[in-house]
Amino acid sequence: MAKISVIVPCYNVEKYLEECLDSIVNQTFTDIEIICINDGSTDSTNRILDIYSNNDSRIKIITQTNKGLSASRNIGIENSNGEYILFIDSDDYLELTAFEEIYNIAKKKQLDILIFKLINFDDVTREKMEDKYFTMEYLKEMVGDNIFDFKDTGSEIFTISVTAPGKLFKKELIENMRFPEGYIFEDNPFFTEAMFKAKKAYFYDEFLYNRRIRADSITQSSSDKFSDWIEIFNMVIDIAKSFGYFEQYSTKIFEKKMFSTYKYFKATDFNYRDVFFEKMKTDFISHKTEYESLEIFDEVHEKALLIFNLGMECESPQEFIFKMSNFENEKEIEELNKFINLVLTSNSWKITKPLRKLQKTLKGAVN
Amino acid sequence: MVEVSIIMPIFNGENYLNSTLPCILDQTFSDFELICVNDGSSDNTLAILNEFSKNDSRIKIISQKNSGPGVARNNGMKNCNGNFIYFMDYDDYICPEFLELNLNNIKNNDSDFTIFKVGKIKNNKFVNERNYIPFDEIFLDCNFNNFAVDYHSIKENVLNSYFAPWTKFYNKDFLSRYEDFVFNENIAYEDVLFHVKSMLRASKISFVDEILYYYRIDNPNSVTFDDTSMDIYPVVDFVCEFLKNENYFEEFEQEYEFFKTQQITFHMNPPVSEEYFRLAKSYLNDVNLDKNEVIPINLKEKYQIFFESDTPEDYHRVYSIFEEHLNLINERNRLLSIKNCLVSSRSWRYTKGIRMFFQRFRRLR
Repeated sequence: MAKISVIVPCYNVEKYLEECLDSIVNQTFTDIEIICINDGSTDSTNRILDIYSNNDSRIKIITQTNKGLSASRNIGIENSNGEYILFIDSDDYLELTAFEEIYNIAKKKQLDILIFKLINFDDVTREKMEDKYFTMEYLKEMVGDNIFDFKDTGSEIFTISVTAPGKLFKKELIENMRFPEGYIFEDNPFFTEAMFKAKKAYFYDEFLYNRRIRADSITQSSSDKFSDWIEIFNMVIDIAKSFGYFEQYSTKIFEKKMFSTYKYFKATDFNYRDVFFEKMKTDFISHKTEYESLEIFDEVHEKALLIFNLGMECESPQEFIFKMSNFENEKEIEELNKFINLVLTSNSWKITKPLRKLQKTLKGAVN
Repeated sequence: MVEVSIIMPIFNGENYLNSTLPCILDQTFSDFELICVNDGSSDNTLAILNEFSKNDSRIKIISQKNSGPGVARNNGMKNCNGNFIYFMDYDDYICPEFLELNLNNIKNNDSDFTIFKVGKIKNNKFVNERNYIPFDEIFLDCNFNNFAVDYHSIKENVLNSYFAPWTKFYNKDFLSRYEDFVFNENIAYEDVLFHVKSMLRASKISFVDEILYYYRIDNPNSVTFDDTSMDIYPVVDFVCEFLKNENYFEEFEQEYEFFKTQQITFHMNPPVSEEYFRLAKSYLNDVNLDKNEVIPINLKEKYQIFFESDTPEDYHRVYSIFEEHLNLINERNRLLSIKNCLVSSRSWRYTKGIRMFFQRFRRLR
């Protein structure tokens, strides 16, 4: 049994696959099995995979008709035999000592999950850019160098990066879990469940994974599928409930549901806003009684409550957009008025009155 | 033979002619004829024109039965003698150096027409709100006395722009080269196609970096106030036909989509008729906002209101929320600029030290 199963779903990545596979086969840690799932590629992806597997017996290729990322990763889980499992996206690449570092720590501390850091890089310029979402400074501050579980993270559990790459999973933890197929945001429920189940998690504060930013990647172009968020986040909430985590954090969970739904709604293409809006409205109405019974409306953020109410009341997507935007502008206007008033009634302003009078008379004299 | 012909259609202009005519006659450049086309006015227009022309032979009066500004301007063009042509409106204001500066520029650049800066007259006050193709913002550090472009450099201003005829000072040769360089007759928005033709046919367009003209936006008798909004549909068709016949359509496909969406929704003022709304739906049913790369995002949000409404009532209900949205944005921007003014003022900057001192003092307590 290999120590790490590396799952690499591949779909039409002839431009990037070699860089990715090189960074896996050349890892300083060699006791691995590499499971590549060719998800119905139509370019030379399969030829590249064949060449690599001919030269390295650790590589196993599974070919299927195009079924999507979730299905590919799920096949990978089903075919894994390693002690630990790791997911790689086939257009990214790893630091060469990554496996060595994380396996040793995971084994020594007997971890269920080891979380490490990703860094973005631009496909064209190769410039590296940190993303707060993956750097998770708050996590470092919260758990430091200690083994933790979900209870130690409080409500921040929903802020932790959910991406499948960036974690080393103990096989037993996830072998019966699957990514939901036919949805985007598929890593949300998977990681959330894994995090809840894990008794021993650890945050390794190193950048080991390089995530390629290209113009045509899945999250950038799927704005017609953003409405999947509604079902996906409900799955996440159900998971939280099954671990008895919902009541205690219902305020934060409600706020996250509202803010994230609004964010994805705004990013949806105009052609798909109707669909998203109807789904959102139906979902809010169906949860109205439940959320009201939680009695959190006095504590939740004003804007989250507004999203919930307007989502149910408005008759059209644009009505919703403009009413929300009006609220945001009204808040900002209030802040600006406060600030302006503060300045004009401040001591600083009062004592400089003679200076302004002088400036005015000088200006008048020139004209 | 005269250097410039100013062509001015007038319908019931008695409230303005006494201020407009003098500012034309006061031009620093004097070799022009002012062709006043009296479009069947029923007020004192003709009397005022006659009075002025007695004292200044440059004024020529043509009378016609009421047929609209398109016919009036075409009539003026048929009867003019200048080497250069300018179409002016009777309720606007023209600066004294208008002719002089435009002539210098058009001759130095040998251009087909010039564009210049224009301001607005709001409540009888001059306001410098931008209302012209912003050459000065597009072409920075430019010597406009030696600079001309064709439509390729200002492609987004061909179809989505300022159509009014008074935005351009023309070389007559350029207009005479084409038989169809006339204004649409007996229809509103008669200047739209004329503008499109001008922009596409000119090989040299130059710019005068001065405000030379102010146009009035609150004249209740001005044509733009009539309910002739249904005319926009044939005008959109004319533009489409022209683009297709002259093989510009593919090049301007997205700009045309922007153009027809903007023109048709812009004239959809409440209360909009069922007929207008229905036609709008049919004219715009092939518009794909997501694929269009030339429409700015804030306009897409606005147009989307129309696309998702099923009835005029729907549309107006959401549109009024949108208007509130615009007001709030303006208010926010106004306050933001006040805040920036205050924060960057000498008074605030000079007293920074004092504020920091008191902050630390408070913290120690």
